[in-house]
Parts: sequence; C-alpha cells; structure tokens
Amino acid sequence: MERGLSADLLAFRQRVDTFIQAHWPSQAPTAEALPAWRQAVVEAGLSVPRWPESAGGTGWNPTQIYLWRQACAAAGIPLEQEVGVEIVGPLLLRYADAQQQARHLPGIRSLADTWAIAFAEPVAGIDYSAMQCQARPYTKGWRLDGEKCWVLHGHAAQWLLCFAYLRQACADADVSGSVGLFVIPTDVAGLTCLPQTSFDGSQHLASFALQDVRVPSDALVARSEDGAEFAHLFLTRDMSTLSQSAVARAQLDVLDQQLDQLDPQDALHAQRHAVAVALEALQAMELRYVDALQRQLEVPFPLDLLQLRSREILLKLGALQVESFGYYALPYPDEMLLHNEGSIGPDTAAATVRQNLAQHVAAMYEGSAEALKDTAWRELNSTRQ
Amino acid sequence: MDFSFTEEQTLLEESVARYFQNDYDFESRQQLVKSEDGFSQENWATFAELGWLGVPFSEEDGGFGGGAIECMLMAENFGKGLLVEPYLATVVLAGGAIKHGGNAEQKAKYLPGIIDGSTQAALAYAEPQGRFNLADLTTTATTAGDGYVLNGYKAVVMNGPAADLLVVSARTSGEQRDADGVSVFVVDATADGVTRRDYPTVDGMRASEVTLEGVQVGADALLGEAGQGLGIIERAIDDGIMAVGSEAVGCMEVLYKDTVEYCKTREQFGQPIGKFQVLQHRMVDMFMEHEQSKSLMYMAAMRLDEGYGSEAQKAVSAFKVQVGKSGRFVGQNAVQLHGGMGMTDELNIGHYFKRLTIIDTLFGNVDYHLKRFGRL
Repeated sequence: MERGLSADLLAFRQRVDTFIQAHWPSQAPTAEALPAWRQAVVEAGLSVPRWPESAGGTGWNPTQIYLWRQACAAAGIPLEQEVGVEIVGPLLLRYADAQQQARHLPGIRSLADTWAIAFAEPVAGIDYSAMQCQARPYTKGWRLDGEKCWVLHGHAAQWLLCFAYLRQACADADVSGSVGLFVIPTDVAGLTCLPQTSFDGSQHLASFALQDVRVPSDALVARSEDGAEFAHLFLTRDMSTLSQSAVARAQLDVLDQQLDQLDPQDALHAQRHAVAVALEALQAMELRYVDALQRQLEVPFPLDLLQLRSREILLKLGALQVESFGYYALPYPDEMLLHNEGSIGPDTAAATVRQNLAQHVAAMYEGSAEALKDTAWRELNSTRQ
Repeated sequence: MDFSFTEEQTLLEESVARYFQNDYDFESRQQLVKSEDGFSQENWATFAELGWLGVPFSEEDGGFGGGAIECMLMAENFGKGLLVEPYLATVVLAGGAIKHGGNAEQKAKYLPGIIDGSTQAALAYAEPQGRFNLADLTTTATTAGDGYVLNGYKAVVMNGPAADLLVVSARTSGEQRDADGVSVFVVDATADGVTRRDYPTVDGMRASEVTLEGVQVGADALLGEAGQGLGIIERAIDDGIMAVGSEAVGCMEVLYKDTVEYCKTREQFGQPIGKFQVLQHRMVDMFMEHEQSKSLMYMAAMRLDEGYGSEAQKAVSAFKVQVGKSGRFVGQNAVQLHGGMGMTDELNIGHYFKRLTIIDTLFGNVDYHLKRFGRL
C-alpha cells in the first residue's frame, strides 16, 4: 500500500493546479468568473473529462479524473452543466443512436446547452413503477401526458430528459409498458413550467405539466423493460460524488475560522473534531473507491453510501457553521435588504444560514437517505454474495 | 496511491486467515478462556513456528521486518478469530517498547525470547489515577547505587499473570503529570518486591494489578534515556492502537456478515426478518461503520509506515475514534438484530460485542482521542 501519488500523477496534479490558477480567481470569484472558466475548460478539451476520447473526453484514468474533481472542488469551482455532462451525456453515449448523439452531444460538450431531468412525479415520487407520465405513439412520433415535479434547474433548462411509460396504441393500454427516455425541448407546445419555491426561499426547482406534448420519433433516446436501470443512472452521479470530501474540507476551513472566534472550551470544538474524523474516513473511502476503479476491481462498497455519507458530513458542517453564530443564526434578510442596509450581525451569517438551508434542499435531489439505503442494500445483497 | 498488498503481505495475510478458519474455532477458544492460563501454550508455540511473533521486529533483531501494514493484516484476522493469546501484550506492547526504546544489547537480551515464544511479557503503563494520560505517574524509580529502585502500583496490566517480563513506566523526576521525567524499565516479573493480583477481563483475557515495593533493577534495565521515556510508551501504545483497531475491524466484519446471514434465515411473522426494511437499513448502517473503520485503518497503517510523527499520531487517533464509535454501534446492533439469541453466552455475537467494548476503552476512548486529534 502506498498513500502518495506516483511521479506521473504528481505531474498531472501540478498541471491541473496550474490550469486552475490561470483560469479561476483564487479569491471572491466575480460574476464573470464562471463564463470565463467555462470557455477555458471547453477550449482546453476538459469539459467532459470522463466521456470516451472519441466523444471528446480526456482519456484520463479514474485517478486523474478524481484529482481533477478534487482540485476543482477545493478551489470552489462548481460543476458546470452537471446534469448534461454527468448524466445525460453518458446516457446518450450508451443508448442513443449516432444521429441522436450528433444532435445533442456537441451542445453538452461545449457547455452551451442546459439540461434538466424530469423524473419525479407528485404522486409516484421517485418510484418509477408508479410513474403516471405516459407516451403514446402517433403518426409523427410520440404524445406525452403527465406531471413532473422537483426538476432541478428546470425553469432554466433548454432541454428536458423526461421519463415516461410507453403505452401501446391498442386495447392493452392499462398494461405497464417499458420505460422510455425522451429528449424534449422546453419550448415545445403543451409543456408548462412552474417554478417551485423551496424552503430556503430559492427557486432552483420546477414542476412541469405535459399536456399532449408532441415530439418526433427520434426524441425517444432509450427504452428499457426495467425502469430501475434508468432510475439508478439518475440517482447516482458516479465520479462527481467523489469530489465531496474536497467540498467538505473547504467547508471545514470556513468552520475553523468561525470557531476561532469562540471560547476554546465551547462544546462546538469537540463536535468539529468529530466531523473532521468523519471527513478523514470519507476521503479514505473515496481513495479506496477510486483505487478499485483504477485497478478494475470490484468497488468495495456501493457509491450510494459515499453519497449518503458525504451528504451527512456536509449537513453537519453546515449546522455547526450556523450554530457558531449563536443568536445571529436567526436573521434571514433577503438579498435586497442586505444590499441596502448591510449585514445583521457577522458579515457571513445570513449567507451561511441560507447555504445550510440550501444544503438540506439539495440533499433531496439524489433521493432521501432511506432511498439510498434501499439501493445500497439491494446492491450489497445481489452482487456481493 | 495504491491499496494493493505486496506478494509477501498477501501470503502472510492468507496464512493467518487460513489458521483462524481451520484451527481456531469459537468453541475451542471458549475452552481456552476457561483454562488456567487463559490461552494455549501450544498455539503460542505454533505462532512462533509460523514466524508471527517476529513479524514486527527488524531482521537484524531476528524478526521478519514487518511494519504497521503487516501488523494490521494479522490483527484484522485476530479480531475475526477473537484471539485470546497475548500477542498484543507480549509482541506489540512490551516487545514494541523494547524495539523502540532499547539499545542493541537490550534488544539482543530480550527480543529473541519474545520471537521464539519462550518469553511472555507485559507493558505496565497505566495507573489508577491516570485514566488515559500516559504521563500521569505516581510510580517512582529512584537511583540506588548503579541502578534504580521502583515503588508504585500499575493498573490493569494485560497479560500480567503470564508475563516473565514487565516493561514498566515510572517517574524519575518532575511532577506527577509532567511529560518529562518519565522513564521505562524492563523488570523481571518474579523479582523481589513485585506482587501481582491476577484476574480475568470482560473480554476473556487476563490482567493483573501489579504492586512494586522496593524493586531493585540494574542500570541496564533502563530503556532509552532517563526521563525521556514517554515517547517510548506513546509509540508502543500507538502501535497497540493500530493492532486493536485492526482487531476491531475484523470483529465488525464478522458481526456484520453473521447478522446479515441470521436475518436472512431467521423467520418471524411468516417471513425472514431480513425482509423488514428497518432491519435492512440498520445493516446498511453496520456495513457503513465497518467500511469507514477499515478505510481509516488503511490510512493509519500507511501513515505509520511513512514515519512516526504528528501526522501518524493524528491518523492513529482518528482511527481509534472511528473504531470506538463504529465498534459500539456494530456490536450493539448485532446483539439487537440477533434478538434473544444475541444475548446468550453460547453464541459468538456477545463475545465480539464484549471485545469491541473493551477496545473502545483500551488506550483511550473516543473522547480522549478526539481531543488528541484536535490537538495534533
């Protein structure tokens, strides 16, 4: 066993660090930072690192992708067009035909197209077997009807990847068919988007009503008799999950700065150490996972567990950050009030509280803790006997 | 970054695993617990023949030249088999103190007996008032002629009943809790003035309360420099944490797997209890705790093998925190999920639970190591 990186990987990490230093501001990124970063990433051919080289990927091995993700996360760089790059692109590469790929992959690769996934429904939740959205064939393609909700960044998306049951035109309409994945432009007739306000006050989520939405035949990019196959692709974000220890470490640094202001005997210090140990364990698990991928071995545990653990740690860090403000965890001024009248209490208090609430909202994007445990249990007891 | 093992490490691990699968069943182990010695001299001799007792010692000292990773691989299997033989006390702790603190003559004098199995040893470092503070010592060693005279009381000395040698920490200068002024001595366990009160421990091991009254030792009994012995003890204890932590990881793996198997076969209310989602989630949590501990076990072993210092100490404390927390969780839930069977003495579950509970306390509990982690 060897904890350090090989000379090649050290050189790779150096190149990554150099690239980030050249294209991402080290302090307080401005609004212009993200578009500039996006352009730099696309021009350098780094926008879709884990895609096959033939599709514009970097050809990096799992360890290199991990190092890239870690470095970006440590610098506070958000994943660009994550849904398109991490979920839609790999799915199209796996299931779609050449024409469908040619139509959609360039826009994802250039980070120009914004995608969202329409999966959950008001009644069915993420239980694909209870999904009510249906697609029926007609002479020019498919007609979709149904409702979708909790669509992340749905109102900003140009494209939806929509899950629907395929129904036959004949009398057996009540018989559940296979699950289809449709690519739908969000400006298509019959599609109505309603932003959903989450409890942090943000509107990152949207619901969609589909009423006789008509799409051509080739909008159907994948179909499967087993909806679980697609559901898992949606719920598991693969390598992007593996950057979470770096995100958490940056949050731990923020917490440490806040705790410096407190009494050394304050009980929050002990809680800080406990979460720091948990973070050490998370990173060690990430490294084991990546090492298994790199050596093409069976991974040591389901990725869902890393998602679950990283989420728990980030939520705990957020909670400790908020607790460190004491009473100043209560004010929740809107952006306009803050801009006009200045901060209430510590400068970063309101933003931290807002961020912590947003973390609780974001934690639901990939399914509840119980849903992740269900998936993990199935994996542990199907493939690991 | 590489989590693979060398060919030698793999062979060692397979050898130890095979022994515990084939030659160390739970019923025999329970008989040993009830025996007079509390362990098997025959097994001990086998360990010597297999070379296990020499694994952590350098080749020039007659050992195998192994490090923390080799220790980890062995101890993980010790945990799976619930080993009762005093490998930890003799080889890791007392042998470790001599390895880290002794000069060439002392190593030549003491280590061959440990490696060939003829010498049993114990590290007498804890005192009743000291809790987990290794420097909190009321035992004293005062100079007398060319040597020292030791007086004091050492608590819960693991393997004390069988020990031929006691490696004892004592204060030669300074105040009761000073880091400086601690010295370490090798003492003949049968020397005049040494008395032992022997007893079993919760997990089936043996220990002693050791009283030292006017025990005379020569100058050559001193390991390292007078007054600078705390580092020797700390190093041996950190090796001990690496060993018992790895044992705990092995215990947790057995408990998780046995619990899953039990829940798949035990039927209640017309179906296997493993069909109940609440139990499935509990077992996922048990798996997760085990994997977190295993991950930190690897990191601690690699850090120790890179070199002993604050980073290694920090990794060891993080590992101990995780093992303490996870071990209790896995142990308690294994008992719960086994229901009525889980609380019986005949089933192995409760015995793993007791070992895990003891391991949490050994060498400092979760709170102690969280503080140490935070300090480093």
